[in-house]
Amino acid sequence: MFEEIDNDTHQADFLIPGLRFEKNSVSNTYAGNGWFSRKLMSSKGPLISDFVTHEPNFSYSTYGIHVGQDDRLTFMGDNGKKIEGYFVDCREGSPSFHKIIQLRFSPSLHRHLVIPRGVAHTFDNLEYIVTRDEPIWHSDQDNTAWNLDNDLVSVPRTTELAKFPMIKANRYRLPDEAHRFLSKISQSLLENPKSYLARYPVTIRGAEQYVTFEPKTWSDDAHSVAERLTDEEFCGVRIKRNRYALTGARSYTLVPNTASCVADVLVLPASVPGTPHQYYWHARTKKTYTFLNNQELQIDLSLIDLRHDSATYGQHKSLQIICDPRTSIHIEQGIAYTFNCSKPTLVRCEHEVFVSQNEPRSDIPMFGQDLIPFAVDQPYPNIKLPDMRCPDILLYKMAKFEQQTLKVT
Amino acid sequence: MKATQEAVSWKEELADLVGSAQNAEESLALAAFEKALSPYLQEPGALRTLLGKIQAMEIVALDSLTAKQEFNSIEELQSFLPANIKAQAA
Repeated sequence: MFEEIDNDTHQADFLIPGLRFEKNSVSNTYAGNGWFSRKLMSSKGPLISDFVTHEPNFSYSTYGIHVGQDDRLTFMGDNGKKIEGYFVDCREGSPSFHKIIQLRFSPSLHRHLVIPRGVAHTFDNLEYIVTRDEPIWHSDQDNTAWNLDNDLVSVPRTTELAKFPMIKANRYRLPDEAHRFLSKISQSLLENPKSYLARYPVTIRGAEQYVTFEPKTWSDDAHSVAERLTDEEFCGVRIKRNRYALTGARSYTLVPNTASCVADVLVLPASVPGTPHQYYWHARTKKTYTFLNNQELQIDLSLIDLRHDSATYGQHKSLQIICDPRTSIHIEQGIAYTFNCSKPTLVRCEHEVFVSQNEPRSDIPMFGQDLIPFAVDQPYPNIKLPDMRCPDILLYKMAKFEQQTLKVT
Repeated sequence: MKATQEAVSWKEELADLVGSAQNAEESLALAAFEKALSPYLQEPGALRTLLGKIQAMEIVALDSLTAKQEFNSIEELQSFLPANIKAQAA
């Protein structure tokens, strides 16, 4: 029996202790303030997020149980169906041990689902949906079920409730800086894409041990993404491969591209035909955008190079980008640009921030306001762009400050 | 070579991290974390993704796990799996 969760419910607790919805931090952006209509910020905590995409006809045939990780999942996008979630408490000593509950709910930017470590979970109707996870990691001494490199025990969905494993969940929450450290290692490991290996408990000669299953047919992914990438900068823009693992044949888990590990999710609304394109540019910020959903949709990016020292200074260019979560577009400072897309699209936004020797500068906006409108008939600005890259830890701390202070709706 | 250099850098960062604990719980957490991560840093290449995700696995591969409760070896388990799935000890 499913418990129905309506769209206005952003906070709720359930029979399994710790399983709950919590409210997200979403801000509306306004007309005249960039191309994006809404911004989903990181939740309180380590500010580290990964994103999982789900291909057409996607289905899970297993439950997953974390030993050291609490999941915090925001379900984004729309496939016309409600998501169905199944949860079995496998925690040693829990009052709801081996109880199952089922939830039915729509994707929403406004809430995330917290799944405590030790609670088995799986979902139906995730095709085309993107999930943002903001995990909280825990460690422990001598917990044989915990594998730091692969914190998920898989259990086939056909398993009887009484035969679900009993999990001793890790006890000690890792500090935020350890999360960032782990994320940086994960980024390095995924410089080249890899398939994710599922881990199953198996009894061999009377003793339980863990075995991973690796689907060999997923390994030729690098070749198929190569044609989407640009070898060289094109008028201040490059398309690069993201760092990701394959969690299905055409489903991906994206980890951060930057050592600050900070990312927001922005909603790019569908363009209104006949509306003139508004250009904006950034003086202090290099942007990295990943189009998370609407795979294979074409988005038109129009560019004007405003950089005085550039070989393509003053040139107008157009770039057709195919939405593919395996790739991201990198836009330099001093490039005015605008998007044209036919469907509302979710965009992961990462950035690098630059400062000058002669700060504070009055000729360019301060951090957090670095979005400058540009009209094609106005003179080109004559501005020396900041050229000193802020350390990643500074960007991380700025994001922490923004998370704590920005008004949300 | 790059993997070795990275591992050395990670070991140093890990040592700094363990030394930065602000309270007793962080000390416990970081000590356990160091114990879990250090063996991997001795052997660059042993880490794969550091992720925990549900994998979209073919149902046929899982049938062997539910149909047969116990195996004599990983090789025997492998013999029940489709050719495109490789099983190995975790």
